[in-house]
Amino acid sequence: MSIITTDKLTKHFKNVVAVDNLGISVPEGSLYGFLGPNGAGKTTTIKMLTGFLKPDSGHFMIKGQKVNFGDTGYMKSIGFLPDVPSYYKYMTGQQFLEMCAHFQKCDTKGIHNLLKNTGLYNVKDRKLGAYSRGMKQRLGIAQALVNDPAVLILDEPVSALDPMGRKDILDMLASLKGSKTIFFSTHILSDVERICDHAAIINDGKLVLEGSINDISALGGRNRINLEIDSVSDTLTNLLKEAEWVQDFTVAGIQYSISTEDDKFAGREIPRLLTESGVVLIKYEQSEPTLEDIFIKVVNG
Amino acid sequence: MRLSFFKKEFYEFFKTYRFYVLFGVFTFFAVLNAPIAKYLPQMMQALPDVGINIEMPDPVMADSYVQFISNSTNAFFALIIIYMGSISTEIKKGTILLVLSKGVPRLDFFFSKYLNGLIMYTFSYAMYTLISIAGTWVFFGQWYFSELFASIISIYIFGLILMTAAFSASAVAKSAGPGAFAGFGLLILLPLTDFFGKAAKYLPGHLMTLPEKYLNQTASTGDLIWPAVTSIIIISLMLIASMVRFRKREL
Repeated sequence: MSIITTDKLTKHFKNVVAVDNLGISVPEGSLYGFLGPNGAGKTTTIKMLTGFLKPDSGHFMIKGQKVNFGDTGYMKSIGFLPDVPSYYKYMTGQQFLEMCAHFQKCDTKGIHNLLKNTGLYNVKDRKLGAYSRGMKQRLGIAQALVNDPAVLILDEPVSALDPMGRKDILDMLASLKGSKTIFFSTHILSDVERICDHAAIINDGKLVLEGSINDISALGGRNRINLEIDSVSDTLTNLLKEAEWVQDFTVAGIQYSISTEDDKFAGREIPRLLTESGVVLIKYEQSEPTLEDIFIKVVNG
Repeated sequence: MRLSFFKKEFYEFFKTYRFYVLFGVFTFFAVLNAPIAKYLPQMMQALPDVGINIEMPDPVMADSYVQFISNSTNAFFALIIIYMGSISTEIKKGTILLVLSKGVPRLDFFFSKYLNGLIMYTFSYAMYTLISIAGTWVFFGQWYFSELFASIISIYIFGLILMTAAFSASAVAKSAGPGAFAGFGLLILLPLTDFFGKAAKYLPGHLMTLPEKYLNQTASTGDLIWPAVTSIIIISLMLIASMVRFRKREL
């Protein structure tokens, strides 16, 4: 069952189409990565879903209920983190979370755990004006969770964090998988690969790909074999051109990148070709297509 | 109305020192009113002789209230500055997003801010009035004249128009600039409406000329009714229009 669905969602800014007939479907309980290059329409989509922008046409549904611009009731089941969260600088972290809980008329007992889980417990009494960017991002995650929402909508939740902070937050999001639906936008593909089970890729406001990570990975096609040899060899290049098991390959000096559908056969053939060419193998690496390969492929059409 | 947001706004007035600034400015002018009225003639006489002979009458209680009227205009500068970015600043900084995403209705957001502003202004103005009256009594030995209360109300409503204009503009504008433009624009333009012939006595501009007329005993309390009613209608219209626009505003 889908917890968020959009149907032909469209938004223009003057003559620019920011989001163009977007139709996505976010399964309940999924960790859904919303991917796209800068300016693809990710933030605009999120702002429509959270009621800050009015769609020019199309609509969206949250938990099966159609949402109209100006509705606020559905926000009770949503936790939201904007791309650059801003806070009241005179408040402390704890005061801010308590205020959020009061706004949503929910219990403040969970705040203690939220502060601990987001690594902010030691700075809970520090003024938010003195928080680092990473701390603010963590607090953003904490405030989004304060009402224990069914859906989390997060706009670039880890973009401001250092590698350790990113890992912590991604681990935290991964631990929520199944208990909450997490919809997060990012342009960091490895994050999506690491924790998401579903993803969508948008470009120029249009949906170009959506599905489970497994289905999307399958679209990547052939595996690649990367070779590095000790010296430039025209013989090896010619042998590869003639080999039927090679789909395509590129050469950059002593480096070869070979695409094939039969890894095992290639694994047996490559040593033979190297021997015939009289070169020494320095490096052999076999890689599956990454989300980045797929992303570049679909975004570039 | 969601009390939690109202409380946050109330608390914020103190934590961001806006209340202290507003209260401080009103109090500063209030403290000056009576002594300036009392000692202005002496100060003028103490000026170096430039060949112009200035004859100043002996100060009287009415002079203190003349200062009360003119210095209220000065205090309104602070009032406009404090309210001109009430909502636009929250939008510009992005703090509004987290508040509204917590389900706080825009109507609550709007009126909590306005009511808190109203409370702060009313309290500051009340203290301005009380301190001015106390100063008048201390320096002149008397403080009351028959239309004192009408004068106080008249200036209060005028300030309320300026505050509402600055606030309302902040709800529809992208920055604090239009709030300043609306507030200071009205501060300059409204008194000019007192030159609109017979219509003048119905217009808000009359609110700032009535107090002096009361001091000169050339107006009665009843003269306050029409400009007050017109002003309240204008205040209501400004609030309704900006609130309707704010509810539909994209953030």
